[in-house]
Amino acid sequence: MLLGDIINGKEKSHLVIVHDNINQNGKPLLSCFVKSLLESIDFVHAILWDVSPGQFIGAFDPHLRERIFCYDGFSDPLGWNLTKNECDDSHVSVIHQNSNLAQVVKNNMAHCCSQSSNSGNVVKVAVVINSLSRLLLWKSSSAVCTLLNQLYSNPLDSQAGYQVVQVVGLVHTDLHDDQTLNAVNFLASSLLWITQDNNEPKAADQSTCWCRILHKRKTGKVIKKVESFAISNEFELTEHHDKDWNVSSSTANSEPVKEVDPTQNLTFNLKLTDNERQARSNLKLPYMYHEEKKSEVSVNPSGEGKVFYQPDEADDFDEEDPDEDLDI
Amino acid sequence: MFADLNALTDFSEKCPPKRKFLLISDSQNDGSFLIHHFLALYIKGGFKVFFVALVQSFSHYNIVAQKLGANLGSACESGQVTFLDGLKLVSEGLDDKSKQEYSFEKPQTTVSDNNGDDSNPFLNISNHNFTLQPLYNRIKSSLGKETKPCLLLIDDVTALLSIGIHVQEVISFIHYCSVMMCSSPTTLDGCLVTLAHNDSDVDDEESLLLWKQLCYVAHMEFHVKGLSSGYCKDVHGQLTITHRDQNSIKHSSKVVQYKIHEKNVTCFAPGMSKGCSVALKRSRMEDRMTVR
Repeated sequence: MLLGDIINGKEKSHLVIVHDNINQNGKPLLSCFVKSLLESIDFVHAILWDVSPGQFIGAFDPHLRERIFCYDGFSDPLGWNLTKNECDDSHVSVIHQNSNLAQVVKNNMAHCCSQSSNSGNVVKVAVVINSLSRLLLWKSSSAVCTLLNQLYSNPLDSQAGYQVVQVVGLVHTDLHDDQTLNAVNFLASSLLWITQDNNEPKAADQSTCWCRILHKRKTGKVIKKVESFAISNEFELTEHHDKDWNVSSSTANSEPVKEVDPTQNLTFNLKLTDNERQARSNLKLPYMYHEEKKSEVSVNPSGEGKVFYQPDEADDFDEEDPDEDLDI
Repeated sequence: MFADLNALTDFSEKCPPKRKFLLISDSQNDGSFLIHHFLALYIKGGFKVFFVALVQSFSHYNIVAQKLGANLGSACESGQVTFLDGLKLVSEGLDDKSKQEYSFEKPQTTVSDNNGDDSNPFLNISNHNFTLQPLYNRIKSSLGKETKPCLLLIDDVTALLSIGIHVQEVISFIHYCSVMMCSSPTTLDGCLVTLAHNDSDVDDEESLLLWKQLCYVAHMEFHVKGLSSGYCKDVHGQLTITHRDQNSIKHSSKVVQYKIHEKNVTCFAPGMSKGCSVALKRSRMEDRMTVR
């Protein structure tokens, strides 16, 4: 299916943007990309703002780790710690908020390629960014778009000895406004939104997630799919179902808003039926003056008083709520 | 320190959270009882605490800690707890115009002065290029070399926004704090606990943005909210504890309701409060009577 094809490279895509949100974490999907990329290409360069290089690399098998280069923007992005460039690990280089990222990455790539001995072949490289959100919050969207463009465009001369196959970026959707997101999305050839499916019953498998995919082929064809998938602890993707966008989008938008109705399931009655209302109005209260009691009045023994209440027209004995017209 | 909360989170005074960023958030309710909980937990466990208090005074925290069986005053004297009185320092920073200009002219000295423990970290607060780096340096010099578990407690980060600090500055500050406490390469087994408001009825984009960004950084979130059915005498609110696992797409969470007592907090499954069950029994009894 489409998601699997994008990840394993059957569908070519130069820039993949993964959108996640507070409730759905996109990092496993990103790791899935890294693992799959390492099978087909030589090096992965990971630009890390959100996780430490140790944590990012630790998720992969030791034999894969050698082919991942990390750019550490996590430990000291603003230079507060005054860290010296501790290059004890040749696989990690330190970057800052104002680093010229494209330049740093390209230099590093060229350096790697010159080191790897097989000079005849073109070295295939991919770039993974976790996450773009931090850059988007620091810089303008146009600056980020320029960076992305620089990253995935390959040098024209074959002297460089490397080729950037794919750039994969993670964006936390709910941190940005639509304008920023649109600018970045426009550049991308594949967009993956991790979403929640509302039709899914609550009891369904916890590991199953839904992903909305928009894939733009080089030929100009645009494919829109919604797929359910699961990712194992080893970042292997399992795909379950897929369907077209418009089917789900109509259902996804009609999310019912659950509100608590306090008058539901009460043990007593708050409303009156017509019969009950009738019965209530027929009830004669003991202190009121009415036909049957007339006799009592006449045979009232002398010396004893009794109070009777007879409502007259001016009495406020209306059933309607007097404050009904007030808009509180 | 509340036994029920310890049972829910698997933390205790012998085994405090290690390398964790715990975010407390509240919506139309007050989540500060969790601040008192973690403060008392670390004081009783004998671990070091750096406490940045921005919304309440020392005496307030001292009195509540006493009720929970911890002595904040003596812990401060012995150096176990470093109490930073934000209320005082912020108002001093706002008042002191002359010093402000002085240090604005010489920003280099304040930046490089890592060990200047006694200077007010909020000194330049009304400058538009104010940074929280001095505060971070102060925390770092206090906790940075700790080898036992320790706690950095900030009682309300939303208050930093309210005194005019830019949201990105606050986020950078919290990022640095969480890197120091949770992922430093040294042996520091720290824990960062902080509270951010995200009231659902308040339309404040900045504080919402702050809360969302902190959610992405945090390992665990304690979300306190009021009951959707309104005020209740026996249930004071609902607590959702969400574990944010880096390696799974969905986050696992549990929901409990709680009641705050004089010296304790009890937690129970939603709808299972003692008060609720009494009301339930009574209504069932009434049902039976009417059937007869």
